[in-house]
Amino acid sequence: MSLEALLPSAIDGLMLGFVYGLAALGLTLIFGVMKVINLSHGPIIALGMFAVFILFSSFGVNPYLGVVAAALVGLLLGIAIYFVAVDRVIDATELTTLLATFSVNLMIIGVATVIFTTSPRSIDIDLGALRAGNVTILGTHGVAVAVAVLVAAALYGFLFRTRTGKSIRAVANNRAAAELMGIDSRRMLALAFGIGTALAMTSGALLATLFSFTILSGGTYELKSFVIVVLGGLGNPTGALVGGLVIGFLEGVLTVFLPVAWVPVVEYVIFVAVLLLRPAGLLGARA
Amino acid sequence: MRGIRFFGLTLALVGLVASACGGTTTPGATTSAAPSQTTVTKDLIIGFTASQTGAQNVTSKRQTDGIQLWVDDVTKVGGIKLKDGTVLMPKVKFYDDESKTDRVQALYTKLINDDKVDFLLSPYSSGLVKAAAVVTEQNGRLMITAGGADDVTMEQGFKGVYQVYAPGSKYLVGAIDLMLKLDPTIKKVAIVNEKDSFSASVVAAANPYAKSKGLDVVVAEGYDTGTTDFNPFINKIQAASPDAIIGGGHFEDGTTFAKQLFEKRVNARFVALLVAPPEPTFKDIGDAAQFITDRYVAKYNSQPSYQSSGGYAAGLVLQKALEDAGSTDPAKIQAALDKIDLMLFYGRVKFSLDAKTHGKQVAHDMVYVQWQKGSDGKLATQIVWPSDAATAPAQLRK
Amino acid sequence: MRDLRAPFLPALLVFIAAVAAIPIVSNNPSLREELFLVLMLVTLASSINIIMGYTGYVSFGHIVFFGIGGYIAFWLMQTFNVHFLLAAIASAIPAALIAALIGIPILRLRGAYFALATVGINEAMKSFMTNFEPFGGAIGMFFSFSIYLQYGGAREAAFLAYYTMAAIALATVATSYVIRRSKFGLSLMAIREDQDVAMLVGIDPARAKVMAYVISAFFPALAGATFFFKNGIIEPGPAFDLLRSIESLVMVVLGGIGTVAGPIVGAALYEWLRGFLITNPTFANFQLAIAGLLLLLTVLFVTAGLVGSLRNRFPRLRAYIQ
Repeated sequence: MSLEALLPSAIDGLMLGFVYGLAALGLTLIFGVMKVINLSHGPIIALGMFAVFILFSSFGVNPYLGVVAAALVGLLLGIAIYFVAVDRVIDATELTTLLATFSVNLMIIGVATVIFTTSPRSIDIDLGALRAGNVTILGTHGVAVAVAVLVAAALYGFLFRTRTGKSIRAVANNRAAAELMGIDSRRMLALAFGIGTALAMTSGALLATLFSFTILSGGTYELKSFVIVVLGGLGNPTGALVGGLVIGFLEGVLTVFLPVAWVPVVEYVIFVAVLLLRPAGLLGARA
Repeated sequence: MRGIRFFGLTLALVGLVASACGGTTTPGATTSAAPSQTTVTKDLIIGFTASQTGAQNVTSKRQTDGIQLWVDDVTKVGGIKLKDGTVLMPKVKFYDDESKTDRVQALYTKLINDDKVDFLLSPYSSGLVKAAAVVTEQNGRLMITAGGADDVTMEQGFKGVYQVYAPGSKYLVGAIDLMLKLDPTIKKVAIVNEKDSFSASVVAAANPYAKSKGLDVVVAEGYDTGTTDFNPFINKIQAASPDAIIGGGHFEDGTTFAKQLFEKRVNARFVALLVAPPEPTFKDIGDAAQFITDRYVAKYNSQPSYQSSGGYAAGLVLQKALEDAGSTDPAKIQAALDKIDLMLFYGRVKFSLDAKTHGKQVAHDMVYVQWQKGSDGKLATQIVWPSDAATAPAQLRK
Repeated sequence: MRDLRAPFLPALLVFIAAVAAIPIVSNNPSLREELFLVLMLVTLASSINIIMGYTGYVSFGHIVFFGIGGYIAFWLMQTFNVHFLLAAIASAIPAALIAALIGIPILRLRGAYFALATVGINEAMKSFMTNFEPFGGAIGMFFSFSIYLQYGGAREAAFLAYYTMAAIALATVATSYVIRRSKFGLSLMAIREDQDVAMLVGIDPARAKVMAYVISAFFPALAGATFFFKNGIIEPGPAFDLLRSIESLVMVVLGGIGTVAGPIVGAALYEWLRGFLITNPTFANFQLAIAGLLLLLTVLFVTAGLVGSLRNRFPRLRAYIQ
């Protein structure tokens, strides 16, 4: 154990936490609005990675422009997934919606494996680094944090300042009441699913600029998103962002005191403990 | 980035030097079938599973390519000619095992009982090889393993499993020897390896060996298969400031690990990683590695890798055993395999005859390659160890 | 009509046993391997059906009991050379106890929260095993081949494993039927429909749910012990494979949730389809996508699953097919 590793590990973890938070935001938004746990979250994150990768390697598009493109594709894809797989079963039991989104998971993974294979890919971007003593902050990580913060801020602006955003929140609170107020709830649900998907793809796109990935990489981040979302309270966007930072920070700091491989054990134990002791999450569900 | 800032010392094919005088050791070329006998041509169906999907898909494909290359080469020279005049034309039959042990077992059962294949080669990766070995032993069949290097598998008292790869325990022990020869002042080592059968068996041997050489193991950590973020390990390594880093696992993780070590400007003088660096695409990670043309490319006109040559070598071993046995009778082939002592392009091949470790590879040794910047400024792999096979002296970071 | 219902269980059991006997009679080891897997999936799907179909709790990470059973039995066999059958039973009891212990708190959770908790438990267990060196850590455990000698060799051991798996599948199906026809089963279904109402009519939901969870954990543990005994190798990944868990849910839904025959039909169908797709050159690559599409179609349009829709379509069948 060496405390010298503490500072760089904490910084690394915290920075990643922003991107984790963004992915979790997508998951929690969908749950908050329509009580659906989106099991296609992982493959969608992976699609975000591949969107940037293809634009970059085949068309030479700047990866950060690729991030924007991934977000737009995500919005449309999410709306499409909503109408194909979710709309018909929106009022059915959890099992039904879980399986419906899981079937989308299988289809994405199936088709994408044929196209991309499960070979690892990476995008090489060198933005330099800030170095001070043992601390190295890579440019790519810095930009990822900045983008994550911007996107989260934009989402808040949208949800709280615009009419459409307010309608989505109204549908989340009480669909029947929102419909009485003349809100087309179906459109809002589809839009919310689209935004959740766009967030997942954006986080995937950012992760692609940091680490190598395969089409199966999304699974890891999906599980991490579950942990974060539960920690912050299912359906609570602020909780997801804070939860992301907490998990990122914990991951960084714990590695200093434990063998790195034990960290997931701690993470999942916290996850189950939070569900049992404070199912509403540390910040309470649905702020 | 002036000069060679970082550098990866790596494992690769044994005896590439031998490939310079290639062909002479290929068994097919030296056989003389008795011309007077009537020739009967038979198909020789060789069954195995390949991981076309899942975690092992990249390296498994190399192995399949290697096996296919051997089949093509044998077909080109008219098949394997036995003394009794029979000519065997090898054909492959394989399924996708999804990199999963239960699929491997179901498919090997199918290969043996439904497809009635004549011979079995192994899947790729130690974990899958173990699973396949259980089935071939259950059915009393022979199998030559190409992609399984872990030691424990071969210490179970198998009867019909033969290992072509060098056992994992040998992989990094040589790296430690090389390192100490290059720089006897090295004291502190960090060992960071993938937590899978293969890498763990490598480290289980390398760790005590390092200690026996008076080295101080300052970090000993394992990472899960599929890890892409090595920063937690790197932060720990940096805090412990070791002189050398050894470890790694397979392709994907090794490449990423090397890249991130470079990004964080880790100050180690010596880095040895398993498996990943000999892959040609390793250089795609940029200055963290350094470039390639090896004679192997010219000779086989395909991208070389440890796994494809392993697949090819497994084919050659089978061919040699068939020729020595002079028939396809399993008992005779088994006797021939027991006696085999071959020098292939790939290195020496000889199996243990001890009841407990029967079939374990005992002769094969590893070579270490390093990516070095040539006079033309491009990166190339050079064999740096053992010294009698070296194509260039190893360079240490100044 | 009531007298006609009685033969359903014996008929079903005879049918399963007869199918299981085919590879033995015809001496077809390859079919035996396939059916071994199908019998195992029947066990998993029928077990999950007890907690999910009857009681309404979506146990997403149910495979955790399969893994626990496999690990404990494997460890007993490898370390103490315990006979397989003894080890299997000795592993299912702690698995059931663990189910009781974790069941008490997590069954208070409802809906998505419960599903997520089971995923968390499975993942926690998997990452724990990955680090737990007495059980081999990430590499897992691997039999020394001499272990099979006491069963007459590796080949005979594979037969023993097959017979055992068939027995486990039969026991699971019988249990599933008995529960469905019992008062206990009725109280589970009452809980599924409305827990509060169930309480009003004198059912103790907490107790009944935990009982159902324990039973549904017992059989997968036995199956895990048998599966890994035959494999001769156990690793954290295959032992706690979340995908296999979800696949078992898919089988239940395909066949017909809450019915006795549904999970059996679903498991057989799913495995047959997978085997077909994966060895078929045209579809091999699209295997997952096609499986996903079929699942989606079932979920959207055939909500009751095959057996369930048959029963809905032809009410007379309800007397014969449970």
